[in-house]
Amino acid sequence: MTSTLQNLRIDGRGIALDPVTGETFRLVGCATHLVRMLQDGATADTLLRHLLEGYDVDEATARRDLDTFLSRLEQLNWVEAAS
Amino acid sequence: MKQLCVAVTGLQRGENPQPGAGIIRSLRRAWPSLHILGLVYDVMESGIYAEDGPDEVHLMPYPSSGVAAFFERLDAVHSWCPIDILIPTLDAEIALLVNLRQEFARRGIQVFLPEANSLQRRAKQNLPELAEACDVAVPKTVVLHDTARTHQAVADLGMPLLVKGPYYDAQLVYNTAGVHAAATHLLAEWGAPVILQQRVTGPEFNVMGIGDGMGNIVAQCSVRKTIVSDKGKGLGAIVVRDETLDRLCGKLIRELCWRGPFEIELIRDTASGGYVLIEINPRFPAWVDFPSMLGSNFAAALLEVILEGHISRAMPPCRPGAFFVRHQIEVVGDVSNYGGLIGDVDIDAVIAPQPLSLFQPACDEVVDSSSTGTRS
Repeated sequence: MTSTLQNLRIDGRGIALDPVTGETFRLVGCATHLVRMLQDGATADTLLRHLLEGYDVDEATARRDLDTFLSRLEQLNWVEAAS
Repeated sequence: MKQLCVAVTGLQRGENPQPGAGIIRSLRRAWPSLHILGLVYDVMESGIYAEDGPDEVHLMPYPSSGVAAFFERLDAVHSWCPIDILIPTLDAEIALLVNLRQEFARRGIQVFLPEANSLQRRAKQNLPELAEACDVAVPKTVVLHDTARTHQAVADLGMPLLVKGPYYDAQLVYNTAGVHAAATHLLAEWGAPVILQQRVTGPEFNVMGIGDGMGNIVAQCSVRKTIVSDKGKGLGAIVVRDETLDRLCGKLIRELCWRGPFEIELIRDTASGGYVLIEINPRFPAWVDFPSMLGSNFAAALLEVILEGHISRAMPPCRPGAFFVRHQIEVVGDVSNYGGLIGDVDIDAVIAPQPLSLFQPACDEVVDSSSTGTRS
């Protein structure tokens, strides 16, 4: 987890504020919950399990969507680049 | 607090707003019964007519008229309504008044201004030296005293670049002809020097605060501009809290032993990711009243520092995520307001050359009903 993700403030409607830069982001759908899980220290595997257990989705689709999501978070410096 | 009389300048809240009207709002929020004088240069300064505006307004000669004209007029105002504290808010005023603390003290008027040397060190043309002393990045800068070296400067800096006057005004130009035209205009308007600065791109940050004159910051608030006008003015901004930014500003204020309000302007360079110092303004910004609506009243803190030497309790930090959007509304004046500005007590001033020349054009426009009131 990066300090950016750690500092992120997320309100009840999925609006995330980076208090250092003042940038705001809208987290859509399950993104709010996933980001909160990441703030609590969840790994990519935990997120995948959460998607498979909570949503009507097959593993290949869930894996692909999660990869796209995490890549976006990498670009924002919210998570470290995958090694 | 005893009934004080505080004089504030810079009441214009138009396209290029000045801090005075915001300072008055903040002061009223802390002390509703404070007696506030507005010192203006033009009867069209919109803050004169604001509902929460000053109790009295007096015309002043422009700073370019010099110290003698300034004090001649100030003494007249002071004799009608003794001023306890003066808060000048315009760069050109502060440059004029910074050496005159003794003159104010002699009159019993308190001011809280930086040392002349500090003011000079933060001037745009001297910023690179200050930045080097503080290990802070600045855009590559060339200072011109005439247009003869324009070509060489352009070769050194590349394009596009910003052409700035010593106090106000900045133009983004894309070619040598543009640099020449902008520099010629600024030299005519403001005099030398003209500052050419390499353009840095990235989000813009402003930090407002008060220096205690011993190297400490009494209070500060940092924002990132979210809406920028075509003149580069922040029409909206959001509070941020960044230790890197705080440290950087702390170094600058410590180095300058800055006394008084300040606004530090920076850009976070998209290329390097680091902060680049753009300007240090020797006054509060136009958004000075925004933090006071969040519980951090900078104008009230300034008064406390002037009167007590310190603030009675630490100001709460502004919460990140709070933002402002500038909202312009019309205020109503009447030709009788012009009369009120001269009034009985001001008659002497109106027949004095400088105030008369200031007053006359606005009167002419109002008398001439074909005029729509636009002023140069």
